[in-house]
Amino acid sequence: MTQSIPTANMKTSLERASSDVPAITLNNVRLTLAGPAGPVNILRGIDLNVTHGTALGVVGPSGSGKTTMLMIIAGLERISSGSVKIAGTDYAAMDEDKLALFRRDNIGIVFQSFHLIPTMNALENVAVPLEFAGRKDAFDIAEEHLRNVGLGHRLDHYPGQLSGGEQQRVALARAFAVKPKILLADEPTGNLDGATGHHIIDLLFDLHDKTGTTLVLITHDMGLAQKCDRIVRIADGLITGEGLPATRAALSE
Amino acid sequence: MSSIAFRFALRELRGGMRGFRIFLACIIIGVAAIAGAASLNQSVKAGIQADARPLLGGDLQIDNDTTVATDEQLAALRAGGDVTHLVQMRSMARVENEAGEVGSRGLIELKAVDNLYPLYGELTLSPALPLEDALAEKDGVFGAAIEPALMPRLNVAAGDRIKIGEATFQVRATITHEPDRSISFTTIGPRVLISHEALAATQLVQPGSLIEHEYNIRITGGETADAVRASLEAQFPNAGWRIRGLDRAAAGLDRFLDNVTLFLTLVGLTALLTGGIGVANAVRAHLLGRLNTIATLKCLGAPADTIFAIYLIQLSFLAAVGIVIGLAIGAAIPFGAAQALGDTLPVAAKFGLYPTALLQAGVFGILTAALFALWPLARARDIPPVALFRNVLADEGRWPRGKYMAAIVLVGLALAAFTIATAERKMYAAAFVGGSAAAMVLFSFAARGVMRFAARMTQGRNSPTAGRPSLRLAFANLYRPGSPTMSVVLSLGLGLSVLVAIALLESNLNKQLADGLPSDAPSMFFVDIQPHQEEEFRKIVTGMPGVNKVQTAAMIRARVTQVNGIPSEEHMKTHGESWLLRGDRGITYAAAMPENARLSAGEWWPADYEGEFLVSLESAGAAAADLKLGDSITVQVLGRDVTGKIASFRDVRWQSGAMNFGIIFSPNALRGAPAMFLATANTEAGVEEKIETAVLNAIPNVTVVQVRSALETLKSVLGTLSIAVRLTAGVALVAGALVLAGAIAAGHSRRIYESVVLKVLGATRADVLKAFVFEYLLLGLATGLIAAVVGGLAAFGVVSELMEIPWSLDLTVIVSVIAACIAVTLFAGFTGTWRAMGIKAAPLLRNE
Repeated sequence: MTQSIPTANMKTSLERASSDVPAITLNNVRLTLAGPAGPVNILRGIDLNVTHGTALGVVGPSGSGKTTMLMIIAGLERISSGSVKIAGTDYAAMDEDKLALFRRDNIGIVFQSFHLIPTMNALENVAVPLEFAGRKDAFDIAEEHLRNVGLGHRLDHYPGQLSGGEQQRVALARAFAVKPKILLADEPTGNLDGATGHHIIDLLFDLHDKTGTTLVLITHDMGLAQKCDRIVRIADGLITGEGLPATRAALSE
Repeated sequence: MSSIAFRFALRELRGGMRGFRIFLACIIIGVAAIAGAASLNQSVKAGIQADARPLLGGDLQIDNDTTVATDEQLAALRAGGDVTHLVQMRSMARVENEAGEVGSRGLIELKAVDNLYPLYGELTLSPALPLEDALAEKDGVFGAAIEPALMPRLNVAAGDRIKIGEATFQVRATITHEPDRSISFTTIGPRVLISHEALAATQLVQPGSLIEHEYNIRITGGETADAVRASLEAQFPNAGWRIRGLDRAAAGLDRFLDNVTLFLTLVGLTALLTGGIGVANAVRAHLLGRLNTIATLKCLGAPADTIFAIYLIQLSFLAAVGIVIGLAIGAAIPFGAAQALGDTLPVAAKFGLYPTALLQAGVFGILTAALFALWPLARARDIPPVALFRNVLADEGRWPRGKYMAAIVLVGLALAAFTIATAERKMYAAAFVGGSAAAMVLFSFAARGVMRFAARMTQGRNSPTAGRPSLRLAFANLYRPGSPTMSVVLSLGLGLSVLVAIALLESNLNKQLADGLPSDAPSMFFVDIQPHQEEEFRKIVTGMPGVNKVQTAAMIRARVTQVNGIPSEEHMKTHGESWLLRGDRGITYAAAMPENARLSAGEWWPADYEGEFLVSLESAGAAAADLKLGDSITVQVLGRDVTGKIASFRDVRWQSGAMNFGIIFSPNALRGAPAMFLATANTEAGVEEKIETAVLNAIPNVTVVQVRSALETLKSVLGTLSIAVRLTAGVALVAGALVLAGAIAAGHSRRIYESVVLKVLGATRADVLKAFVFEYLLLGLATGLIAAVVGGLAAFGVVSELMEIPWSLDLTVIVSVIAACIAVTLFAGFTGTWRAMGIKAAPLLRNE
């Protein structure tokens, strides 16, 4: 993980990151969707600041708005009001394609159900975001990242030929391959057994430590959340509690 | 068990038939096309049967070729009943000015009749004169009844005078309905009816003239037609008569009708086969959607055979719905055709419901649906209960079990057998069955090739798609499990290659007609030049400007009676049939070998040859009857036998258009035999009218055919015909397009998923769109190319092997078909992609 990514875009981001600009700033973020029985308030005014390099755990019951918040940070969901600034960039003025390009250069995402492209092998899956970024050495970087997650012997395997844990490791490699400023993980171990899940989490935090990436981890597992630098609790579209892992009692009200 | 299966089948159908629109449409189109073709055929045939006597012109028709029946023969004919004698020939009608110069003129089909004509049915004239009055000689002028189409051509009205040969006629009436007018594409002009006396006065009938004598009998004695026929054949075994009964009342029309029906049925079958792939796809998609249901049922203890029965019942019900709708549409087609065809058919078709036609189409529908549904059904039966717990599709590569495989093979054989058994032309139907099976195999190989190629394009770091994820995804989607490549190539490819073949055939025919004449081909034909006119004719034509070459040949009507002293019929029974030895034909004698031929064996006789009579035969015709150099053949010329020794065989290039004869004798054999002369002239374009006028002014009995204008007429007929053919072939293409739409719709959820994942990874909408456009572009291009190659090969085979005309590849046809294929595929793909692009990513990425 020592090579640098010498794109102009990246450089400005690095400069910003080295200053005091927070990695994530959510300001009174609200999201209202039209439901069959009138408008539904999904998020009701979220305020969140995450400094660069932080590992943030997000906990809360199902349907509380955790994943929605993640999607908003990723630029995959539009907010109804408020503001979103990621690595100093305000999403408000960006269209779908600009957001895609921003995501490509700055954000990695890991899902519970992996979301690999079934018609591409492990190497190709990891190379895709690099290829979109126009990297000539996409395959070499992809291979290195796959080796880092212990899949050097599975480069040619298709997702259907890999176990769940292996698929998630491919997804991790894919997320880290572009050296993202921010890594978003939505229940990354939800589909995996305990031992495999532990392995993935170890890998995730290992990569986080090595690269200094800002990590947002959604989880049900308080034990997992304890590994983070900071934990927020979301319920019913609002942040209802926040603290350091040590103040666990304060969170479990 | 079966009642459980039935209950479950019905329960599952409660969801409606929404997923089965393509399934139903594919069955409906094919069944409707076949039912429509068969119903139409039966309607017209019933019409022919009802009018058989008027159409034939009697209970029996005796074709006596170019000669009048002898008194003895005539007496025998009359013993059977009333006899009417008809003479038909092609000639020219013309209008002359006071100075006797030829003005307007036109080719005609001349028919001389007696007072008994017609024996059955009614000839109607306008004004409604009795035929006798219309044709009788009045004030020294014969009457003629003409087809209305001739009036504008000659610029004459009722009462005006026209000349035919040496005789003058007054146009007394137009023919409104001629009961025994046969449909034929060799008709060169409108009908003119005259009397036998008038025909004699034209002086057109000379030894060797191209005329046909026909005797029609109305049986009065209570004997059956078969008995009369048998007795006539027994009395005059060597008369060379061709006797037709009511079963072949409209032989030309019958054959035409059978050909049209065969074509329509084969198009319908192609549509069914093409649609069959849609059926298979729909069944597979349906069963994949039921994967969980099937696995659950199995977990709950349902035996595999019950699973099979449930879906068999369900699909049978759906197929039955499709077949019934198809039959209803097919049954309605003849009624629609009745409106469209109007009076173009020479018989009044009896439109109605023809159960056998519908039954036939129904059986085709059942067999095809079964053939294509059995495979995915048999595989569904084997879905393991553990499928519930594994997120994998049913194993694509596995073959059904033995007994289901056997059932599939049996149904396939039954379909082939039924196709051949129900066709009037078994050979063509068999060729179709073999051809379509071969095409299916060829197309599946081609599809596999495309998939393998696509796989190669994506593999390895140095592959052309490295660094281009959109392109790689496009290629990958061509060969991934469940990709539409196989079904689209098979179905759309099959439909398209039929279209390519037809379009190329047509372009070759058109080119042949447009280039018209090879530079060495004659542009004018002259028929029925009498021997004493030959020299005058030569003098007139060679003296005209723009004439490059004039050739004449004597034509003698003759029939081959013996080969090596054995009757030719006997020879053909043991050595093979050949057109050279059958019936009455024109033969010639010549000192020099004709152009456009090449000796393939033997030697040509010297120009001044005298000695044993020699003969030269066309090589292919001779080979068919196993004739050898040195064999002797005997021809009968007006009662005289002439025997010659075969001295050479010639390969003839008939398509050159120049005169050539199958049988040519050395001049010493036939010199002095009654002959008429044929002539050809090679001229510049545009001088034909002048030449025709000059010839007709001097020799009015000659019939002149201008090749260039005949080609124009042929071209317009061919144009209309080809539109009809293309439209019909379009039915197969519609089925292919349906399959395409179905295959692409089936990939809809996959497309949405991919576009969302790509967007997450930072792909812009343009990147995502590029991936899908590439995919359909590649699919369309591959399908179009394969169809072009297969259709092109088929057309090449027909053009160069069957039609024996020079092959030319019309690139615009190929390019436009490939372009159209890409356009259709892109369009179908796009409509789906557009919707996929608009889907919001977030909801799809949430954890379930």
